Amino acid sequence: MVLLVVYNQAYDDCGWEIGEDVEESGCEDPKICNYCKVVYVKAEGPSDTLHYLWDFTKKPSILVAATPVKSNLSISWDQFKGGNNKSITFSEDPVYSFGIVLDKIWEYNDVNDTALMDWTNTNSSYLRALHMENFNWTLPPFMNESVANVESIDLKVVASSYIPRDSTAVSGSITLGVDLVLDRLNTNSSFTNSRFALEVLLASNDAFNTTATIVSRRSLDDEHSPGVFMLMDLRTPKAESGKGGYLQWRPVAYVAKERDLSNSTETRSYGVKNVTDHTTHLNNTLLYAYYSSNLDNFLVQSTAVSFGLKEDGFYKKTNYTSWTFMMGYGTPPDEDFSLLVIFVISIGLGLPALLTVISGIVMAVRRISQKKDDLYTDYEEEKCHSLSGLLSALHMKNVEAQYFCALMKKDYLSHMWDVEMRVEF
Amino acid sequence: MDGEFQNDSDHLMPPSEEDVELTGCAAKPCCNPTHWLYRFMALLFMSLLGFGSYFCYDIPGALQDNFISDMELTTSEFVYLYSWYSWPNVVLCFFGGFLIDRVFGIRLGTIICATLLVVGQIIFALGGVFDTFWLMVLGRFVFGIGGESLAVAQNYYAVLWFKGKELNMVFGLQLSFARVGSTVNFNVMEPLYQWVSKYYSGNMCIGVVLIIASTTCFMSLFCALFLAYMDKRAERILKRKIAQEGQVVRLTDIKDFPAIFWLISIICVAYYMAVFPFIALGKVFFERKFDFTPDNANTVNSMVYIISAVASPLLGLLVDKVGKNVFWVCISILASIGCHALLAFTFINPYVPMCLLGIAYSMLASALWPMVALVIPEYQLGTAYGIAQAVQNLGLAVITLVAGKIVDSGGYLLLEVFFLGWLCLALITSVVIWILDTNSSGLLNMTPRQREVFERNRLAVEALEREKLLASGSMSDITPHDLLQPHSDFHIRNRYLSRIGAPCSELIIDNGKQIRKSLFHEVHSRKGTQNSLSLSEQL
Repeated sequence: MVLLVVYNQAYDDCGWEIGEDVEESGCEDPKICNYCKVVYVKAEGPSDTLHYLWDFTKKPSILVAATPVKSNLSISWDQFKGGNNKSITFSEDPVYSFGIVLDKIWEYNDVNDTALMDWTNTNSSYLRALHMENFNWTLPPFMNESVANVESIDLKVVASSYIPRDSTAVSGSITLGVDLVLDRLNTNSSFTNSRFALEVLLASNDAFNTTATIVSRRSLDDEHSPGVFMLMDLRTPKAESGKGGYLQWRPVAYVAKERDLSNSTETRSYGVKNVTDHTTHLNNTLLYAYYSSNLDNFLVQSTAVSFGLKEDGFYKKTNYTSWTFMMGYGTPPDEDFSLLVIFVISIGLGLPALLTVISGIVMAVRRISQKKDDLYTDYEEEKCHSLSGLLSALHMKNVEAQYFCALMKKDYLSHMWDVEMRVEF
Repeated sequence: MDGEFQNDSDHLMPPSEEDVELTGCAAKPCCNPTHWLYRFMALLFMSLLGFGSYFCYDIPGALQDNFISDMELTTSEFVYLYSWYSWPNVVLCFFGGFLIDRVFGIRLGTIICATLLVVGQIIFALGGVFDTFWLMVLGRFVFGIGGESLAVAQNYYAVLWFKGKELNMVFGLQLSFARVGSTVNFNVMEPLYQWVSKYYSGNMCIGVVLIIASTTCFMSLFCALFLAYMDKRAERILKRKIAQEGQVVRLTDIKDFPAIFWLISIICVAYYMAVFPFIALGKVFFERKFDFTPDNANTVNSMVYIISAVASPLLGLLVDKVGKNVFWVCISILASIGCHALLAFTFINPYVPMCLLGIAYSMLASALWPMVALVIPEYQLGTAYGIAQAVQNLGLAVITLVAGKIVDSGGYLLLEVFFLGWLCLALITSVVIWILDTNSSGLLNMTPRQREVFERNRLAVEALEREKLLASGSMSDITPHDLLQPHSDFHIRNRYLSRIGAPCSELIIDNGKQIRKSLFHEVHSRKGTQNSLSLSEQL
């Protein structure tokens, strides 16, 4: 079973809406509506509108487009079903658009246990492709459809919003999260050491001779991915200026439902490579429906991520792998520490500092008032005469307390330790 | 403490016989208990005393893979070898300390602990020989009873011999020997196992290796015996024995322990939390966050121990010279907070914070533990150190479990924040100690010279009052002069007794010891800190 969970993280003030079923976008023919598995999310920002379009009809694909404000999407459903050109249009031309297609899952036979896929070795005893269009995606709001393949596919669409941590955020910080779960996936019977990898195709309206880049950077915060301090960003060329698209992920996958350190395994990425034969790969996808023949002038590349770690017993050991990536428009978000971390640190350092300052002031005040009085004060006299008071107030051994009082009476307090004295009685 | 008083303030006290007595061997430095050479010989034995315990403690860790394969253990069974050592000690080392104080005395107590160490290690080895796992666990249990109480005894001995002199350095040195013990163990056990495996295999091999390792426990036992002899001799010559009698620790005394002692215990827990459990989890942290190779990660992880082995005696010496223990404790906690913050919030090369942490840790250990001896009278020290150790064991046992859970589900950043939280608690506690101490005698933050003057004056007041007391005869008449003058607790006790009609002065003349006991009991067992040596000598 392959489970894809797609969710949107958006800022409340952006005002976004989910077209839960495609009828909102003008789908009128129930046959087509049942056939097409399209979800549409629109986010209105102050300066632009972001359109997120998810399509699971064949290959799972996601299109993100940034348009000027108040622009609308229209889909010509008949043409969309037929896989024709230009079935998706916006009322105003997008400033930027890009999309991905989850093209295929590779299964490779890792005989030498390197956890490294040889992408170029197409030998069928080594590499097998599970084409995504052969999976039967089921979108929860839609009817269940018959399962034609050995692997059944579930798609869960989760759209959630959450409270902004940074109120100055623009619509560019809306991200889309995709969880890929390979749960009890049947492995190729002739492969002894199966591992899996995901190949993702990427298209954007950058020029065809530019390239997307994968940057890995270190992050301090591993709160949501215990023990992993790396962030991987795949950025389209325009992402440098903050007006492009990105994919972001942590190089970690989990081999059990509980995403904790002991269940974590590594991922490996294989860089980006150009895709020459656009049409075969992108035919019948959202990207082709939108970009159509323009794809020849646009950037189309592919990348892959494999899951697993040397000596981990291969996929068959747990029969489970899950991995998450984020997709968004703008600059890849930097981490920020969670409230808990900030809270503990500020309390932990603030309290001792406060205590030190207060006690310093109290002591200074006391010292000044002591100096004013040549003799010991009533308070101190009282202390000297009450043994129990002394003990509790001074936490001293009896003898020390007595001696302390003796010194106070003789006004030796200010320089008591420098004078070697003998007390006379 | 009392012996030292004699040395330091001869001008206040009439010269005692002992100076004349020392002839023959005792006149030579190596046999003369007042000479530094004698004390440093004792120090050597004191340090080696713990060596066997620390060496053998980490044997399962050093041979983890071999244990698991030779004895056919699961990882959770393997962990029993440590948990059966540490969990009982949450309670037992408190009783160990108390028994040393109350029943056995320091010498016999130490010998018993060292014997338990040997017996435990032998049982552990036999468990290997006979391939019976429960016997091994039993061995670790017995070994644990001996080992932790031995640490208490070691602290006690150090205070007895070095208080007011090089005490901080001695604590540092003991710490460094402990570290050397585990380091040697980690380096020696693997080759030893390889060598033994040429002749034996499987569980026999483990058994034989453990028997060979038990020689270090025998060495500890030998040290305990020799130390007992030296201590006995020093006591006889220095007449220290009289001082130790008369005051007996009771369990109820614990509730009268000063607040500062409990605060010190809190620091023991809160600070050590952020060191030991961190090091236990550190290797993977360095591998993951800093991309270190496993070897390199191990090295940086053991930096704290390596540095503390070298730095603790030196830093102890520094604290001896400068005094101001509370100040040093605060500084080392602050430094540790800095280290953990660097590890958590930066990618700076971890060698920097780990080395700094090693120094801070050594400084803290050298400055913190001797503070207990400054706030707790000598006859309760065993109990006090026992409590501190027990509380620390409890904290470590619980937190190690919690820390593992945090890493698993919340990651290392949260773990570091967790440790920072504990360190901040330690910092608050040390600031409170500083405040309490400043508001009382200020003893903890004095320089050694100030402490000496303080102690001398304290004793001088006492001596003078005693003279006055003996001269004035009965205490039943209290003159206005008495009321105007400062009183020692001795004076006040007598006054109290005279009010309730006890014939103090006669008793004092009859039997100094007896009056002290009866006083002690009648004045509702207040913590007497009176220096009884000077009293009995006067009589």
